[in-house]
Amino acid sequence: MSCRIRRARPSEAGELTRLARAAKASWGYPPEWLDAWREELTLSEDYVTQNEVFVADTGDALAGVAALEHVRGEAVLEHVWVAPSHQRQGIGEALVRHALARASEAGDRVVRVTSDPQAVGFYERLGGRVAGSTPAPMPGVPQRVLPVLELHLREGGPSLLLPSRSSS
Amino acid sequence: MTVTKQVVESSRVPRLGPYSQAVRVGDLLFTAGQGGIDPKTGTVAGPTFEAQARQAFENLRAVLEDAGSGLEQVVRVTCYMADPGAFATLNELFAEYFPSAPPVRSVPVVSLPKSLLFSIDAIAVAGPPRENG
Repeated sequence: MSCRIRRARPSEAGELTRLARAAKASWGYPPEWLDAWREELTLSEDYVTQNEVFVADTGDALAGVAALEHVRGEAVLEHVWVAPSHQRQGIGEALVRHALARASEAGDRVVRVTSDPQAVGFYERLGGRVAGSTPAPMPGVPQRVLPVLELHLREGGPSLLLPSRSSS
Repeated sequence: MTVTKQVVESSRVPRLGPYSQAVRVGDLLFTAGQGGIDPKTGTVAGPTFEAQARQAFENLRAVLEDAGSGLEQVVRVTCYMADPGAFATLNELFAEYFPSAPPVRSVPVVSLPKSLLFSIDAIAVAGPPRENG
């Protein structure tokens, strides 16, 4: 499977929002939770315009997305989603590495990401370390928390991060 | 009815003692007092009230954001001041950080440890944080 990583176009916001929901649903979360996350799973045209949003384009469809935000000078990775039909092919990893390379170019030394509890291993394989946690209670799971990871970049870019393993 | 209390571990503003930086109960978030200590160096941000208070507001903002909240979702703050003479500066910073629908506020004048001139704690509303992957 070959796909090209490029900047998302604002006109693709709707497709990316559908992709985000489908990707989140692939963990098996109930539809009520996905509805509760509607806002958090939405990529608006403005969002795509105002942030660095990268997509994996197969030529036929968008297979995944990852966004790099700068919030008051601090780099944050957001909207890391891979379409269910394209998961476990290294697309998420390629997208995140691309975003990290951009962060490195922009002079960032640390990129933070708030992870789905089940995705923490994915970010750890990319060199992330759990640095904190944030509550994300849901109906029936009042103790649910999300790990917050930091990915440390070094001068010269993410090629110096841990070597890649081809999964996820 | 049981209510679950959840501790927030801010990745950006480490706690400085045996307390939590913030605790969430339902959709409400309660923060610890934030002083003018630069989390990157662990030292007091400066000798002036303004330098310290600005750092304290930045720390508060980081703790709130690390907990799925933000300054605009703060409903109540307590601003602890070592010197009541800095009230005008506090009001300027307050308007800067809370430009609309500012929270309710109490401003006790107290002695603070570690040559701190200012500390602020907050109660805020928290929503679902954006989660990735």
